[in-house]
Amino acid sequence: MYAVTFNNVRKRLGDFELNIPKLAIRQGYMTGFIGENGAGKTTTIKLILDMLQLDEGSIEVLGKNIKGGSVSIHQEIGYVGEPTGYPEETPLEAIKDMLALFYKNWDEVLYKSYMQFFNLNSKQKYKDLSTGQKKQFAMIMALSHHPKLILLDEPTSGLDPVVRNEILDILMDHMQNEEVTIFYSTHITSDLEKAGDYIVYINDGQIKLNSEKDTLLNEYSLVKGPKALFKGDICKEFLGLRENSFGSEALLKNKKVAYELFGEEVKYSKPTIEEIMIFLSHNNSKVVTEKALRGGNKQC
Amino acid sequence: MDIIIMSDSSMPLYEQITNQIKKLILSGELKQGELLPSIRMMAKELKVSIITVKRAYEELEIEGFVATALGKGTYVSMVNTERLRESQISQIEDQLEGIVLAAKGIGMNLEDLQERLKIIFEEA
Amino acid sequence: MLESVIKLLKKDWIFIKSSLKNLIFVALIFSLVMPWGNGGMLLVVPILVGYLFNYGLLAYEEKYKMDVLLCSLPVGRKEMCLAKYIGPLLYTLISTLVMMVSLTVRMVVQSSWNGEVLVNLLLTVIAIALIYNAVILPIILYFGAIKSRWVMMGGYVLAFILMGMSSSEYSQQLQAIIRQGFHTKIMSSLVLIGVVLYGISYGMSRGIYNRKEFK
Repeated sequence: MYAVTFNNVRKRLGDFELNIPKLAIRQGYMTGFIGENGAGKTTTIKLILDMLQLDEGSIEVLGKNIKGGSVSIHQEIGYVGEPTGYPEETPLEAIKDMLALFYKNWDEVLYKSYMQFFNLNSKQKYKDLSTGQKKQFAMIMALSHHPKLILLDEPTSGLDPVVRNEILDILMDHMQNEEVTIFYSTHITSDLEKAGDYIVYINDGQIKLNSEKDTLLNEYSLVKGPKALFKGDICKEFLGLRENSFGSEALLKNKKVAYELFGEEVKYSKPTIEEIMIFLSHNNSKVVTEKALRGGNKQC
Repeated sequence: MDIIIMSDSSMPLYEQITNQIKKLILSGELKQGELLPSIRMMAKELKVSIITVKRAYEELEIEGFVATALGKGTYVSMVNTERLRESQISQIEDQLEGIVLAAKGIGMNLEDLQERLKIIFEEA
Repeated sequence: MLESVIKLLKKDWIFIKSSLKNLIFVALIFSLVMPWGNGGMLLVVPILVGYLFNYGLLAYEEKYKMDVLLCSLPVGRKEMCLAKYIGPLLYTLISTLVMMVSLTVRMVVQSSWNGEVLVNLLLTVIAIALIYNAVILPIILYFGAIKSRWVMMGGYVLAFILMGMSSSEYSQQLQAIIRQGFHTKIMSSLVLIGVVLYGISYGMSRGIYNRKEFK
């Protein structure tokens, strides 16, 4: 049912604290992991990989506790990190030889077909590849051993839309197997808009949102209109509010409720994942968040 | 099989998929008993989320257009498409009745209504 | 578990062979040339080779965050730690063998063949390698290779000073004392001490490595 579960997880790194009482990532689907830089995305992924030690709590991956089980768990995990961690002076073939040693399910045929598909020469050194090709190679390494859990940390940053599309295609190929789960941390939300099944939003070390992507995009509503209409008690229904010199915009959880509150005098639109993220974040000074609104912020 | 979806339309994606498949079934392009692509394959081809396609297939199953056989997949139901079409037509007629009553209510006449219908038909 | 360690050693070898060929080259040169220098020079070789295969390899891994990537492999920390103990030792032993061959050639060429001296030198070199690595490895694993480079530099510099000193008067006296103690028995016990230290060092490192964080 769930590929990864977090239970009462706490981790402190300097000033930053990650606090995730509960997080469950469904098996067989693509979950997008979004949040600002420094929100804790990489920390979360590294905790799953046992690269960082938990201060409190436990994490289970594919049914096993990572404490003690991480070696066999890692057989089933494909990981693309940021930075990727591949040695610059080494030819691709040598890198492949180094990593393939460890995976029971390494598929040499699949590897070769991917290399051909992306037009990569295995005799080249890693440093001779373009930024895009470097990420492609990292993706190939992560996928060629038929992993059941694919953890991606910014896998497509710096890639052009054509390449991103090809990578999405390949990922969805892997998802034809119902046991394959993808956990995809990224700033480039357009890929998640299309193919993401669930969206998890992390902010300041805490999970603020975990929902089906379709629900977010079909039920949330972005309302734009004159400032005067956005004041008063109705502020309590806003997940976020933005003002500029020409008017206000608010994000609401429910289209129907929004229509009941505002009627015909405003414009309604479907928010993008990016817009949802911007409205939910704490850091934008012009954005007033739900917490502040409920606290009776006079700006509303 | 041609399925075209617009991500910026106000109609939810799953509804768009449902409607397009319904059209293909009703027009006969998708024959009775024919197997639809698997949910995951369709999701990959359309580059949409798996849950979206799942919902679309579920809607189609509820409305009787398709059926799922465990292990085999989803196939077009051996259903009388004529009867389905008729039920769709009667649904449209019900809605038309509501519109006609509303138009009459503000004093619109038939020609006026027909003209507006023509414009909307051409634009949609 | 042994299987994983062997895989790690294979991986290191692929890495060195493909990307750090200069390490091999330098180690080989040192091993062949040093025995032809004055007395103290070849005692320095295990330290140099240890430096190359510890710092050279691990610092490179750290610089490119490859150590983070390797952490995602299906290998346990215990095995990774063990491989870091066996690997450099293996390379040091191989270079020692090369050294002994070169020394034998010199002895034959200079008609100064002395089997006992050869054996004692061999034992001394092994002892130095064990003790040096035993001291340096926990430091590298705890602080990371890049931060530890100052400590390693220190060892490197010390080695060269020792080399240089071997011709001074003061060291002549020291060398006389050493020559007295230069018995197979004493050297063997030194090796034993080295082995014990190596074991203790490994025990410490396992604890360090188990708790290591890859930020």
